[in-house]
Amino acid sequence: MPVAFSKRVDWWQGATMAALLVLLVLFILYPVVRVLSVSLSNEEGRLTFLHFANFFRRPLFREALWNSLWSGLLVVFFGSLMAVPLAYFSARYEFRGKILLQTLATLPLVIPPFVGAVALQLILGRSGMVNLLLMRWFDWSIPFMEGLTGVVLVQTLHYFPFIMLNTAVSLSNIDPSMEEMAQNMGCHGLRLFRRITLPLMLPGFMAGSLLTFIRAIDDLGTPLMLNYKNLLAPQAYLRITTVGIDDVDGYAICVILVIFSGLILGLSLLPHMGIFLLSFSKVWSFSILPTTYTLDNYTEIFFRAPHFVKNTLLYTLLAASFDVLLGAAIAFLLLRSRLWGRNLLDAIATLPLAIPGVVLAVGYLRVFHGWDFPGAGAPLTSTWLILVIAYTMRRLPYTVRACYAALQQVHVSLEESAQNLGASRLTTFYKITLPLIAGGLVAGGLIAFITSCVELSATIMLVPRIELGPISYGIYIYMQSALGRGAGAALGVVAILLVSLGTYLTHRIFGARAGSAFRV
Amino acid sequence: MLMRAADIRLENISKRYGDLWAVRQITLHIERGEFFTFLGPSGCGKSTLLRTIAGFLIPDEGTVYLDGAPVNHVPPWERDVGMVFQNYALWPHMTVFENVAFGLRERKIPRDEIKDRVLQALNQVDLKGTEGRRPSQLSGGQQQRIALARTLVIQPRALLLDEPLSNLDAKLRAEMRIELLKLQRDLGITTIYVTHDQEEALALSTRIAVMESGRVVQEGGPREIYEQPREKFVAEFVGKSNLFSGTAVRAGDGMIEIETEEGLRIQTSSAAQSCVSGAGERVLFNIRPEAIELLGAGEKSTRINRISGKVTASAYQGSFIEYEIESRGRSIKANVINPKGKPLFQRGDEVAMVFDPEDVGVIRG
Repeated sequence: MPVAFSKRVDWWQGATMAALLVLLVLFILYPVVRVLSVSLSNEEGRLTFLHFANFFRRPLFREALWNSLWSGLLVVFFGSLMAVPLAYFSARYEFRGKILLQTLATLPLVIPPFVGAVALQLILGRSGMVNLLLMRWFDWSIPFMEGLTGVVLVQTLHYFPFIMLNTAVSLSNIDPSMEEMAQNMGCHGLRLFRRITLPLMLPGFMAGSLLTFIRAIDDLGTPLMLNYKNLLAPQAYLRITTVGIDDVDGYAICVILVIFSGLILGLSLLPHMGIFLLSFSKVWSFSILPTTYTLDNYTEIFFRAPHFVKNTLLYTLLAASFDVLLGAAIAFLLLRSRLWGRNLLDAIATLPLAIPGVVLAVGYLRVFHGWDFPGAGAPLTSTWLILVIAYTMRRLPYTVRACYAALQQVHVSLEESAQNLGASRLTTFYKITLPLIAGGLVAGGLIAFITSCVELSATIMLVPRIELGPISYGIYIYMQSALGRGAGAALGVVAILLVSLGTYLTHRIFGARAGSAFRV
Repeated sequence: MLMRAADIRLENISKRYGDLWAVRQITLHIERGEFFTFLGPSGCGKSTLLRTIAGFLIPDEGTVYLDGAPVNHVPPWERDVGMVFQNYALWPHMTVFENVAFGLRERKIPRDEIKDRVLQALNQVDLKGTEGRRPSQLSGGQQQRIALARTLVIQPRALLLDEPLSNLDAKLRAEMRIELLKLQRDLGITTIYVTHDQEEALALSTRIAVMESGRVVQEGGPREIYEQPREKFVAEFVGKSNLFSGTAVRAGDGMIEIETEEGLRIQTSSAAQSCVSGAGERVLFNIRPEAIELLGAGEKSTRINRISGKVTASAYQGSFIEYEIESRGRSIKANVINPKGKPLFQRGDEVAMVFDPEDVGVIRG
């Protein structure tokens, strides 16, 4: 009964597909569309571009837009200056310490940028380590961290690994014979790089640059920490939090955000050292190094206010598990089914890469704050579940990509031969497919875990109450006061340790291909 | 298009990867206009040797000479030897025209001349009209010919081919083989060809070096390699073979009689076998399957050697039939030309294998 069989199979696949589509539409597409529609409608609900016109009429917003674009471009530019040579050396040369270089280069991803911002303040800020020394020796200081310069500096140090990792993967994917052929034809050196290597590595470089650009203009924590509010993300945040979620200007800004969406390593590691010192210091202000050391900060975060660490583990592990389940199901449907709507599913699942966290959060607030979630007795936005959902959806592209790549390696004939020997579809999946893609699943889950641990853009808008906040939120709260900075740094160290552990495990599983885990 | 043809000399070349010698003390002289093949299984060092000549590898020991000049430290881009890679290495970001024009642009040839020469090269490989396309839009065979045109258009002094036909299907491979043969003979360009396919090597080459684990085990023309293998490895790797080991029991009258380990008695003519000196000596010898004639159990023949056995398998190949015959526990291959119209032997038939003493090739004494 081949017909009945194939019909039943299609029905199951179709049902899964429909369920996934509903889920993704509800939690990704609809919130974003709501943000868009609010920004495009007037009080009577009719289409209007008035809000956008108003946006562009206000000098403050025009400046914020310009600053965002300009800082994004600067971050990409300086990030490329750091990333491309590093990528070239690590992809093309064998040398002692290559692994060390690659690991160090991924470390900046490990620390949340806004934590780095605080640390860099202590080292490069107006009364930071370097400027205090400069003042002492030369009676002269450099305003590294003032205004936009500071934002660009912090973001460059933080995001350049995206460019480096993507470029390095792209470089190592170039077949050596492509370059050897050109050498054989008489081409070498810089000319070889310009004519062959550069064009071939461009896709990876562009992907990394784009990701960096989006991340930089989406980054809310850094400008807030450095108290530089004249950018789009902080403007959207301030409008929504101070004026309320009905303020349409905030939505307009969100839409604008969507639309424009050695020394080097030593420099990039400065924030880590700063955070480490700060976490053991009682007071560190107007001095080159902390004056008194203490363990109080750790007592604070582990015993007096342990909920930040606990929440982070709960939320991120849940989100990572959901991501693995969803990612595996989506990847399976994309690669193994012929169903209508696969491309749509793929598109929506990839969308979060281009959607700033702020925008998704605003959309959630708009969509879910009105109605009580069944069983919770309160709107979804008043429970911690909304954070899990936000993390799951924001990191879904990573697990889909990881699962897709893993499943692509499994030739259909491996599954078919199992079925030919009498295994049902389900048995085949459990006994053949799952073991073969397990590495990809775990790696994808780890990436979701790592990146969720330090998520702030959506977190800061969605946390219903302080005691429901995760580590990133805790750091933000603590860092508001000079006295809380030590505890904030201690939380930062915990975040770094968690993320380092995840990164280490990812490297163990992915091996040399660890870089590809962070690819778009 | 007239080609310059280089004379290539390899002197005592060794190349090591870590603890493994990829190539060990190889000395070869490839003369102007030759079609020289490095033949061997994967991992025998043939590609390493080719890449050493192209300049992508510097030998740990020994010297490469191009036209008499040592080139060990000349970088690849100054050697002027054209290479065609196994995967063609066509640049995906350039059109066919740009790919073929690449080497000419590197040589600062005037624009008009580049255009003429590229079109002429494409014409030569029968791919006129594809210059605006991307390599990915062409079939495997077309990509292969573009790669060849791209290399030939710079008129290199030697052509290095690294398994160029291995990615093509069987029929296309046979066609390209003939085209390559004609092209090379017309141009007279010194060509080094790397392959693991013995048929290709025999069909194309003027001389062949059979390689095994980094060494050249035998060097010679195609007939010499096939008809007089000097090593067991060569006999087994090139063509099909029936290898026997045994002892010479009687020598004299221009004949040597050998008794194999299985107890079969076989005569070989001593004229061709100077390596066997006399009775009592251990020998290894080979009988090619096509040298064996099959007769029904009772049939008579004038051929001196006769072994009776039983057919255990027969495979019909069209132009010939491949038999496997068992005799005294030993299985022997025999390829027999299709005896049109006559009945074929079947599994289980008693047969007699007959062959001449000249067809028994002693490999080692």
